Amino acid sequence: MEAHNSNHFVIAATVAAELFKAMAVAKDISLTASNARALALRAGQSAAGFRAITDFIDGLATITVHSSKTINRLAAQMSRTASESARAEDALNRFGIVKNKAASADYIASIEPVLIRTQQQKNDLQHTFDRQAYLLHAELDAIAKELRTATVLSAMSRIEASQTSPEYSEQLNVVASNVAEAAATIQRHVQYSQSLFSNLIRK
Amino acid sequence: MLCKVLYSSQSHRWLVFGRDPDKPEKIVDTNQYMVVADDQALLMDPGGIELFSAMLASVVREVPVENIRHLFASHQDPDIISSLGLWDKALPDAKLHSPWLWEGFIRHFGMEQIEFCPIEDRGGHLNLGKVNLEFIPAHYLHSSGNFNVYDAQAKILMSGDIGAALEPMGAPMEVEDFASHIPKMELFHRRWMPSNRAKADWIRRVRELDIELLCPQHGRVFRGENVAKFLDWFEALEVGSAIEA
Repeated sequence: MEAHNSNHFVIAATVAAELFKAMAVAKDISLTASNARALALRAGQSAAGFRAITDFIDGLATITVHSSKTINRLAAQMSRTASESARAEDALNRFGIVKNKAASADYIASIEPVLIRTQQQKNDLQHTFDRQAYLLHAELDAIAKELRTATVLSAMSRIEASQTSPEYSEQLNVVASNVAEAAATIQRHVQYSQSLFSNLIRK
Repeated sequence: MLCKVLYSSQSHRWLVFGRDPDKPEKIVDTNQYMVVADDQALLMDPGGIELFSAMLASVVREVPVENIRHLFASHQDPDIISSLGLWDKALPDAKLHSPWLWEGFIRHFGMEQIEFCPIEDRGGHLNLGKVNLEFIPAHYLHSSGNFNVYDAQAKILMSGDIGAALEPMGAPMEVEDFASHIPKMELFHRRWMPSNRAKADWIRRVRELDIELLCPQHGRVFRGENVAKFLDWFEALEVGSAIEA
């Protein structure tokens, strides 16, 4: 990854915000899963297949919430690292101006250790940022993979819903639609985060 | 940036920095002060971010950067100390002396390495080599936690915003004709200073000090009889003018 610029902390903060929104939707899925479980219990034997699926829906929600929290934390850390790095870069630029302005000053040499120290800080921050970026990228990929199973779950939910008695099938179909819709929303947030992130890596 | 020696003796020097020609037009002009005693220096009200490069460039003409062991911020305003995050990179072993009231606020400018040394409301002092500098309370003039720096040996009072004037770039560094200087100070003192009671208390205490130079953070330095003229003028001035509006 090349040197940061001041946009990096904005991108990292935006990714954190996107995943925060994804987490809120995932919590809704969790609620949908418990409602679906209650409904499937009332529907009796004909909804036994749907009951099993609700466990998967719940599992998906749990993984999404957990992963979103991790990504959120990492993105917040990255944003902070990028801010500190921007500050170090700003200081380096200003020390550079001092070197030009005061090239002939008696004590100009005394800012050399300051420059070296600040450059080292900036390099350290760069390494930290790269490590955090790698972890965040991996987490985003992992959650994207999990979300692909949501499409399968939704299709299976529809099949199972159609096999329950007519008075429940409509409501279970609504559950299936809700899961599909929520998963699509989360996917959009994750994909947007991934696209922001790839821009950041390209820079 | 202009640098002028205000006082020089065997023990120490007082310098003022200001009138930076590269200063962005819309930011208020400021005076920065430095006391140098042996291999130690105290930088007072070091200024805003925009001024940092010019200030550091001026400072290294006078002392090695590592000799700046102490910073002083009379209060929390950005024109006083918003450069702190940059000084923090340049002076990791320095100490910042500032009103206790503002620590949590000033740290917003970024301070990871410099040590914060809170000044209690009643004031304090700093020994810079063999020079004793006093932190004189000037609360509510204008900031609610605010100090001046007094050097009894040099007879200098760094008065922060008290005595400040707002005028175009390139103004002389010292007040020559007090009467013609009044219009440049009046609005600032009437509008920025909130308390007549605080003002009267400060004037009473400051009149007990032996002052040859009164050095504000904006505008011009008062010398000799102009110091007394300023105190008389300020005493008669009603402040807190926004309340009357």
